[in-house]
Formats: sequence, C-alpha cells, structure tokens
Amino acid sequence: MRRKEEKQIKRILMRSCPPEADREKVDALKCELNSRAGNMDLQVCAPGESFGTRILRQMPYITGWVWMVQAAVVALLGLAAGQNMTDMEAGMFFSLAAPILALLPVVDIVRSYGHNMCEMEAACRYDLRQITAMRMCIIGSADILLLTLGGWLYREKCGSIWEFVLFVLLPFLASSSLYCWELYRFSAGCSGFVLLGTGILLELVCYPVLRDVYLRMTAEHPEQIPAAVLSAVAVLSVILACLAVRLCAGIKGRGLTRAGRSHTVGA
Amino acid sequence: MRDEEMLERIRQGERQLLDLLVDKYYQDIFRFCCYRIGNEHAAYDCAQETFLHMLRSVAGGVEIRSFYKYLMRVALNVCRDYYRKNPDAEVWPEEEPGEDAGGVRKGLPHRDLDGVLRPCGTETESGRKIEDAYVIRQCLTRLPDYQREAIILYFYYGYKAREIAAATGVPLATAKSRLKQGLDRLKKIFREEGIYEA
Repeated sequence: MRRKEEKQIKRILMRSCPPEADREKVDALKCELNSRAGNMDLQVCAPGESFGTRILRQMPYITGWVWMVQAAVVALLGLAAGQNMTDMEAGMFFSLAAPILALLPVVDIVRSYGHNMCEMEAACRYDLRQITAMRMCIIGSADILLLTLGGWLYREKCGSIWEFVLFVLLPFLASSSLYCWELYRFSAGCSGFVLLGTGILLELVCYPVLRDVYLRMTAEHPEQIPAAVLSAVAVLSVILACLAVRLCAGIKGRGLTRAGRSHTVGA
Repeated sequence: MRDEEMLERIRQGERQLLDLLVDKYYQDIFRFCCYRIGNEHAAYDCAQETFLHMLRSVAGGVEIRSFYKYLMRVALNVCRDYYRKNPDAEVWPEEEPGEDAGGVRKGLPHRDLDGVLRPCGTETESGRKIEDAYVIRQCLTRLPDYQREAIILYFYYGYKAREIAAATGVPLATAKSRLKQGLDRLKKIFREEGIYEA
C-alpha cells in the first residue's frame, strides 16, 4: 500500500522539472573556476598518500610527554631487569605498569576532545575518525613493542612467559578495552583524570584477583595455565578491537557523536 | 575517467578538467538547488557557490571519496546557508503574471475563492504541464525545510534513507521519520490541491 502511494507521489513529483540551466551561466561558472584555480596553489598536498605516510605525518602532533612516559617505562623495565626480584614481585611490578601503558593511546585523544581541537582537526585534511585511528595505531604500536621487550626481559629473568601474559598483557588489554568503552560512552565528558582513576582502580582490583587465580591454577591445574591465558588474551583482544572500531566509527567525520554533538561543523 | 582520478589530476595542474566536472554535474546540482530553494535565480547562485566551495576543498587538499555525494552535501549546506541569510526569500518569482479582466492572473495558477490553488490560463498540453509543475513546486515549498530535503533526495535523486541520513548529517531514525512525515504531509497538500487521489 505504502509502495503504491510512494509511486503515485513520485509520478506527481516527476511532473515538476526545473528548467534547464542556462548555458551562459554554466560557461561563466567555468571561467570563474578556471580563473580562481589559476590563483590557487593546487598542489598543497597529495591526497593519495599511503597509510604509512599518513601515520608518519601524524607523529609530530602527538604530545611529547607520551613518549617521555614510554621512555620512563623502558627505564623501569631496565631497572627491574637489574634487580633480584622474585617471580611474584616482578609480576606485581609489571602489572602496575600495564594500565598506565594502556592509558597512553587514549589520553592523547582525550586531550583533543578536551580542548575542542577536534573541530580544527576535523576541518583539516583528514576526518576525525581517521586521526583517532591513526593515533591509536602509532601509540598502540609503541606499547606493543614495549610489551614485547618486557616479555622478553621477564622470560630472561624469571623464566615463565605465561606469568607475564597473565599479569601484564591481560590487564593491558582489559584496561585498554575499558578506556575505549569509556571514551565511546562519555566522549567529550571523559577527561584524562577519569581514565587515570579507572587505571588506578583497575590496578587495585586486578592484581589481587589475578594473583589468586594464578596461585589456584598453579596448585590445582598447572597444565591448563597456557590454554586459559591464551583464551583470555584472544577474548580480550577481540573485545578491544571491536571497541576500538566502534569508537572510531562512532566519531562522525566532522565532529563527535555524543557529548560533543554541539561542536559539529558543516561540510 | 573516475571523478576521484579527475580531482587528482586537477590538483596536479590539469585545470581544464574542471570544465568536465562542471558539465557532468552542474545540471544535477542546479536542479537540486531549484527544488530546495524554489527560486531559479538563487539556484544559480547556490550552484555556483557549491562549485567554488568544491574548488576550495580541492585546493585545500581535502580528501573526497564519493565526489557526487560530496557535491550534493555541499549544495545542501549552501542552500541552508542561503535560507539563513535570506529568511524571507521569494519562491519561484521568475514568471511575471498578467491579469485578465476579472483580476485572475494569467499564465500562472491562482487561488480560487476557497483558497485552493488552481491551474489556469493556457489550454495547450505544454501550458498545462507548466502549470502542473508550478503547483507541484509550490506544494513542495509548503513542506518544512528538513522534510523537503529528505523528500527531494528520496524521490528526485533516488537516495535511500541511510544515504539521506549521511547527507543531511542526522541519525538514520531521524531521516526515516522525516521522510515518512514529509510524505504524509505532501500527500495531504497534494490532496488539498486536487492533484492526488487515494
């Protein structure tokens, strides 16, 4: 019924057709465009850049202290490697660093929201969701390198990679997922302090729980530790990937979807 | 040659390709502006502004994925700006009506004593078509702006609700409800004007 009505409306509307555009006006527009194009530097940038070039282009816009914190984590890892710590002490030490590391990729995005930089960034050559995704890629990659280094050091010092995965990688993935969710849910209302608070809370909650789980598993089913840890990593990785995609896709090309809706600008 | 390829070459200095883009899309953009604004003279200005905006974006290195949709979106925003600047803009004033001895306007439809818009004047087929077209445009302009946008994009340009949502920058549910409300209202208006029978 509705289709029939739509067809009828369409038939009526099609009876109204605006006049053909005047050729003279079209030619005048062409002249205007050509003369203006002559005065413009059209080769400001090449839009067909590769993903790698785009990532490199974003690097200078990431605040310096993000790299300083990364460097501090490396220094701490080196310091820890030089100490004689028990497995449990090392696990505790590393697990404290994980949520802070996970905080880095999102804190720079929060800064962008907080100072309404998103408007300016959105008005520039990439849209905001691309910028957000690129920053997550850059700082996330640095974090993964750090985690790999940490894993290697842990293995050298303590011998068990599963403990590292359980105490460091799982909290890292869990806290990253939580930050992404917070960022998606609260958008501009989510400040760096909120995320930091979440990180500290996670540190307080995660470590005793993980230690308890680990002690029970080593006492009762030590052979099941690798499978259980791997499953948990896989599940959390999928959750994190979904949340990150959802976060980037939820950002409109030129503005934020939720709290920042008032900041949107026209095309 | 694809539009995006053409833009790339324009950026690299082949400015004559701008003419091709204008030839390809001017008519569509002009028609859209006509439907949206309801004023031919203003539609020319808006179409021009749309292409100039496009040129600025190309020069600024803005990445344009789907050129046609991008252009339509710019046209939509330019038309909105036009209304913002000219809130009391006249609708379809381009034809100057004459008057017969009875005070009825010649060449254009007129409202009768009951206030219903009636086609009038010529007896020829082409004349009747012009009158019909005029009445329909008048009906369209009686829709609220946001519903008119949705109706124009849906019926004249074959956009789907999702595409309308993307073009107008609203959630899908809003685009759907605008479309439905616009359709219902348009039906009512057409019925009042005697050009729609259920």
